[in-house]
Amino acid sequence: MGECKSAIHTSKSNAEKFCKIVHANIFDPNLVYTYMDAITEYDNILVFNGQALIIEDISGGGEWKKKFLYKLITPSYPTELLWNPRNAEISKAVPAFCVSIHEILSLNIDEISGCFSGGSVEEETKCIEKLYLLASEPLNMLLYSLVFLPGEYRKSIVNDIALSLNVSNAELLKVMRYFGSKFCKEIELKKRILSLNIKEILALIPAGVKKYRLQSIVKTTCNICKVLGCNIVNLIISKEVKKRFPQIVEECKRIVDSRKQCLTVEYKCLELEDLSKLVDIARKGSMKLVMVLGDYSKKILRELVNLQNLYIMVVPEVAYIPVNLCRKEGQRIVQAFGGYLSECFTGLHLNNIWKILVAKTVIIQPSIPR
Amino acid sequence: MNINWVLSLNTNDNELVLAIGNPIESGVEEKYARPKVLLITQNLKCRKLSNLVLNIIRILSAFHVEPIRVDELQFSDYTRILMFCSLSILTPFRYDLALPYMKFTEHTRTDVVKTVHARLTTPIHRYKVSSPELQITYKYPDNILDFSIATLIAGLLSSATRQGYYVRLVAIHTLLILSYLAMKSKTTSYSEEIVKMLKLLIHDTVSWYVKHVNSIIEPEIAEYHYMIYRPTVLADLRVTYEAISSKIDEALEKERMLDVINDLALPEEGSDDDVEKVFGSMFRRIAIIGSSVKRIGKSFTHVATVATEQWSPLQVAIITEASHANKLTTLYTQNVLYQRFYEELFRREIIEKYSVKLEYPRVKYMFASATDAVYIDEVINTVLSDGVSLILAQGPVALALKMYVKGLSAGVESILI
Repeated sequence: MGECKSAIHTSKSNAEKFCKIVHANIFDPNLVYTYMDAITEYDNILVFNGQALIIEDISGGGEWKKKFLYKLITPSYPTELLWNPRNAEISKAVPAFCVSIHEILSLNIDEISGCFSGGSVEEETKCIEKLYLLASEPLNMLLYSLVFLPGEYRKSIVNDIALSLNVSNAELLKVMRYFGSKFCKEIELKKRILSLNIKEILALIPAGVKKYRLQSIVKTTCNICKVLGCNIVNLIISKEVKKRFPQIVEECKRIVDSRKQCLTVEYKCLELEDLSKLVDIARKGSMKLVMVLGDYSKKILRELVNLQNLYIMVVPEVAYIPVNLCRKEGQRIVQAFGGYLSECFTGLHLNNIWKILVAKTVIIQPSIPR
Repeated sequence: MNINWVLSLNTNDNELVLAIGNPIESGVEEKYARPKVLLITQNLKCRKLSNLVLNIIRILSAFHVEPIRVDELQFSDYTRILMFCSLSILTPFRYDLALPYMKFTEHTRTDVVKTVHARLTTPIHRYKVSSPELQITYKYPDNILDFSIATLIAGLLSSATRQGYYVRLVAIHTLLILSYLAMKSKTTSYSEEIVKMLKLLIHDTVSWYVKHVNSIIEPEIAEYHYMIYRPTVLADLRVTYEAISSKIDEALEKERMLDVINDLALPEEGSDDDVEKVFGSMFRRIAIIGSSVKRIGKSFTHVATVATEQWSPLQVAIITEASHANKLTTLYTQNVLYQRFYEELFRREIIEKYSVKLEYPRVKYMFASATDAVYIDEVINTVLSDGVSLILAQGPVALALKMYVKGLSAGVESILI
């Protein structure tokens, strides 16, 4: 009987045994390039003993569609099922909520505290937003495992996250609380890079980029350049990139010439036959910022990290970011933003750009001579 | 509808259990627009097949269903579960489920009535399952055979998506290691069948799957933009089953797994051969990992690495053979969740149950991120505090680069590939 048995015999008051997660947006872990919307946003996930029950707050007449759309996502979705805990360890097989119906019916949902914050709905909402900024992928994985995975696999995920954070006890609620205490906080802005007087950006165009992504790269580099106060952006086009999109140099020049922003910044589309020349370019002159846009040859990056006049910034092509940091308003509290986050780097308060840079880009400091 | 059958599984009484095929219309094979057909029969309920069914459901549901008490399931349950595996957006598989026409006398049976739903399944006449490219006869239960068949089915039915391609590639890699184990360790009497499964899946990949993928247009094709070895580049290659077969046979004669991989992945100098290109695209990455670790020329007890989309039991074995590590800490991001669970299942079903002639370490998984800088720092600090002796940084640049640089700073031998 395992988990189910303990649901009946515990002596704690009902509300204390449960916790809830609010505004839980869950993204498909695999489809970041073509399906960037969340699979859905659940209003409340009630968590008990490592299991989840979804409770939807019906906000409008159109919400009827969720009833069958959720079923289409996964027939073993645990929204409406209260399993009889005496029968079997059902949660090992499919996502399930193994608890006595009497306990559920006697619950006052307002008394249940947030899983991550330990506080009220308002505190939990704020906490969730911060988690989406600082630890969005483990958060998504936790939520995904709660809703879609059978108990055994869910336990593995929780254990993997606990190990990553060096938490010895992988009990779900403890992991969620620790996770909340660690990442549900105000971001500390490290502006050291700003004071280094970076004048030049080398943006490494990854293979596979065509017109649409190139436009996004120009927007992103422009806004980061503005923030840093730099005045030159070199868009580096390798032989491999050109092989996949032969017109890229002409397209690059066209996009750069027709840009409406960063007119004081000098843009160059630099075609490199031999990528080893990039190291020579990077080595010369003043402090530079190399921007890796999504992906790049690890062989070149190995050489670049050895240079002493370079910062390397890895900008993801897609990242989950709280909507209020990138847009004035949105229906959901979080969204996957693509295009190298270009939408998030425009028309916003400087602090937001820094928040996103600190949270979503990895910055490698210049090498310490070895 | 006519079908070009690629696989059939029969009982030793020559009763059909399941079959997989490509639909053909009007005598001409369709331009790969239709997915494969999975035909199942009531023989799937046979008690000796319960472990096989367990693994098929686990893998085809992408670990979203962990079956318990399989022997209590009815045929209609199998039908619905396998239907779910193809329809759910959470699984990387796509196929049409087909049932053979039942005999008239069976039509009143409850499980048949519950199973046959005209809108959901494709009825196929049972006697048309003929001349499959590979026929496997299931004589008696065998865990290695069960895992191999489930892996082959997953590979054949993988969807034309980026994740689907990697599921197929991981299946190819795993069938290679299973073939190697079957040949060297003599732990199964089905070794010949397992090697044939590997050949079939590679042949199906170049003759059907990559053409299927190549027919996809924007925006779906965007999924493949950043892949180094895109499946679409294989679409115009001409490779016969015989050529694949002899290349595999030759490689499997090698004593060590590293040599098998090098034999498959590294083309002869100046070679422009289509077979070399196919094998290069499937195994080169693994060969590079092996040779990069081997080149250091030292043994390491504890290796830390990042699971990529090509993460498979084969990759674990290659890292182990090259480093001699007995402990492997693996960071993974959410897009390789399938690979993480699949490798663990392999360990549970094969390594822990058989005494195999293969170095295989203890594997510890940690969840990482490709986009959360603060969390990435935290995870790498945890890894470095755990006595790691080699860092093999690969995968998402943000994670790999940070791991590499932090490893070097901490004085740990590190490679970035």
